[in-house]
Amino acid sequence: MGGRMVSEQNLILRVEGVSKAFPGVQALSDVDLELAAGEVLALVGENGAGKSTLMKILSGAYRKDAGRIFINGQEVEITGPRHAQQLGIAIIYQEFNLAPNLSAAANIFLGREPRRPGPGRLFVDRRRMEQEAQKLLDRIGARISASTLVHDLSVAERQMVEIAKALAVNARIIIMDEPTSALGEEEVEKLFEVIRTLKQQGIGIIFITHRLEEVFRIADRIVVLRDGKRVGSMLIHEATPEKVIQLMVGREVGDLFQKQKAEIGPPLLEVRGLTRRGVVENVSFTLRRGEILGFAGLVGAGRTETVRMIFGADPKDAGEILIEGKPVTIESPKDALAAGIGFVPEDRGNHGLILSLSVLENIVLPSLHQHTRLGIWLNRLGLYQTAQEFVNKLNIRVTQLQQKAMFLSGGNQQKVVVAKWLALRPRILIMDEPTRGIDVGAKAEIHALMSRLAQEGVGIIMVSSELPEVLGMSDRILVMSEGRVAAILNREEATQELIMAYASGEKIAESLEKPAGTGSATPANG
Amino acid sequence: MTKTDTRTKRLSFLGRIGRVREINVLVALVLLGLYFYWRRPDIFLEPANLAVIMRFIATFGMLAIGEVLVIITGGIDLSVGSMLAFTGVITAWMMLKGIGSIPPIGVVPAILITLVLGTLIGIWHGTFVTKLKIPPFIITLGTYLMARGFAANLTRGYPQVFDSGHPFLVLGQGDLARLMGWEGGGIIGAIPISFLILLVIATIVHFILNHTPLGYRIYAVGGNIEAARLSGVNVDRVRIFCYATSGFLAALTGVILASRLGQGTPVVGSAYELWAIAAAVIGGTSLRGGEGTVLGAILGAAIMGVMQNGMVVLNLSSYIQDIILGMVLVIAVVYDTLRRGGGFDFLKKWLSRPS
Repeated sequence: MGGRMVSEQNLILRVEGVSKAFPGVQALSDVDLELAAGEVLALVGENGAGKSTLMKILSGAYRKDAGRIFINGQEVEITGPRHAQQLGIAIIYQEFNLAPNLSAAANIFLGREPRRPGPGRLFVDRRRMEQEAQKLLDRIGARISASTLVHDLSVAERQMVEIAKALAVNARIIIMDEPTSALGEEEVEKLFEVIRTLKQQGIGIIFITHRLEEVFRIADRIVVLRDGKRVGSMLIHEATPEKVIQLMVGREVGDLFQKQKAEIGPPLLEVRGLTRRGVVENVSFTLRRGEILGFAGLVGAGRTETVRMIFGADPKDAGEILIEGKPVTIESPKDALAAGIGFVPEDRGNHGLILSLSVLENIVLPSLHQHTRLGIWLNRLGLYQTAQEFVNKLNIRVTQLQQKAMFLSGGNQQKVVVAKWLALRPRILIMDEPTRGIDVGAKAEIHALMSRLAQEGVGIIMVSSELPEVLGMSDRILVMSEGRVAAILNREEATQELIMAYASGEKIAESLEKPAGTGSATPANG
Repeated sequence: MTKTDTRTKRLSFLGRIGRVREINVLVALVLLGLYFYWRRPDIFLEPANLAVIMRFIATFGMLAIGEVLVIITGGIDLSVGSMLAFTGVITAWMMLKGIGSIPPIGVVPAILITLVLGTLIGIWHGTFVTKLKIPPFIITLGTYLMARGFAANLTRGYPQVFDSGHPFLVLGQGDLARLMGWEGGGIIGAIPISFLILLVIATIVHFILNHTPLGYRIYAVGGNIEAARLSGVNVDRVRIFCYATSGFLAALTGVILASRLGQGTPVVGSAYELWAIAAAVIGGTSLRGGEGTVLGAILGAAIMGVMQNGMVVLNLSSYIQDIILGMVLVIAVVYDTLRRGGGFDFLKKWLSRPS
């Protein structure tokens, strides 16, 4: 708490003591929030702090477990997205809900198309629809013709259409979830102009962002969430970036994540100038034997994109990959496999596992070729033994190896994904958010496993949005910001505050790649 | 948590039925057979009638196996009916007239060339689907039109008729007794050569699906193509293999059918692709991909063969036959959907909707 109250009469939204739990995690506990007419409120916090959950409760996507919500002083119980809309709450998600094959006007009035008068009621009054839509677009100063197909609009213009759509239902409260993450600098400025226009019209805006710099440009007030709790609220002129970061991070690194010492060997993987235009720019780094290299950064900083390119899952525009000093060509995951790289993807349900197949089949899928007789038929006993070996080794709890992967818990599913790579004995293991959404026990087991692998000489890249995990598990930490390497920090010098400062673009590294140990590897094109 | 729990419970209950799905189809098949035998004991189990059923199963079983492979990977092959006409005409043309200035060739080379041609057309489909991202429905629909068109254009619409003693005709008209030189031979001797070929093909494809890396990968691609790709599976090659096999089997069936009819004709095989898909679906193949078996395909074809033959034996009008076969297909698919829980989800949503 400790928040400064905005003048009581102007409040269009007041949230009191809202809580929400999901299996295994308390997403929100006892959170307050207030929003005045014409106010821009920035809601900030680390990944998983509860911002999205809170906004989903307001927009009717989730139901709260406890707490009260007042709109214009009236207590309301938001029952669903439609109800939220009727109450004047609109949310604009990072991914837009627009039909690209329809015009801007048709999207703005989707489901509420104006009809022709009289007996023509069955038909849409196209002209009136376009006129009304144009009025709304003009009102926010968007220079878009209402008859343009959404397909032909830029990302920024689509956002304008979303905002106009919100206004079309008389929204008084507009929530914007990471609205700038896909925008260029000029477009951001345009969006801010629109936000200022909306402000003048008395609309309250909740602005969720990771970019602190933007918060200070547009917000009137900041509310900080951390671990599902509100930890601070301040008017913009009282706030400083340091203070906000402090509040966002504000916890000690627990000893849950403790990497065992492993001997760091010679360079294993060198990445030079990895680029995909508009997504990842000139990323260079070195991974050594037995090292865990943490990838930190905000959502959308290009970490997942970078590791997917290294694994050959996505194409790259430029960049060189060397393994043990030799250049390798990786154009598909198959090439990566052959080069000894394993990849545990971020989205284990959709990318890591084939849920309709059994645990056995999932584990042996990448290593099938090692279990054939004469290269033709499968040695089923060998497959069974391999799967059983890793089920035992990783302590995967299954009733039988034929159990379908979809019936396992998140932690056990993740262990299956790891197991399928270990069966190939990889030299390099890339793990994207290896412990997201799994319970504490399984988390600790995965961490112990990573430590063990590092001791066996495997080089591990770990992408993680949990700073304590990054700090606890990594030998070095590569911080990405806006598609670039912002800094590479040694374990000793890294702190949550320093990482956040680099990640949010507050601080820019003077030098890239810091050699940690023998054989310095300065990027070829620094 | 509770949500996943109930889902697990429900699926495990329905999954138990699902695991014996093929037994269900087999039971249905036996019951159907008993019913028709009860109605017409004088005809139904006679060797000559069984041979008719087995020929039907051979034709649609072979096509259904091809469809199963393609459908497991999430695709569809609409070309096979027209491919029958095309390959039948081509093979007859090569044996009887020769192509261009090349004189007529022997039975074996003509068949081999036709099989290669069918396989190449399958590879063509697979390449368009994987490399150019053309929907399988569209690219095989193109062949559906083109293949029959080529066949009709080549022959100007006339069938290419073989003399009655032509050695090629043994393939489609012969049976085990003729093959072994038996006199009579009863039911065993009446087994058509085409049915024996089906058994060989089915064994090979079953083996591929269940005992080779390729088979595992086919199911993996159908279950989740992105996860399969990220597991190092060459997903394009796997899918092309399935289309190629479907093309090969369509060509093989086309050759057998031409031999059976004693002619290569551009009008043969109309709508057979739909029958083959129906057989695959009745046998438990999911059009959503990821599921399907060779045994299921053959049992599906057998159900349709027995139904169709039984209705002929009972003298039902062909209009009624179509209605009944259509109903069987719908019932099988509804059953399949309910088994997967989709139907229950829909019912649950409908029941719990806010009033």
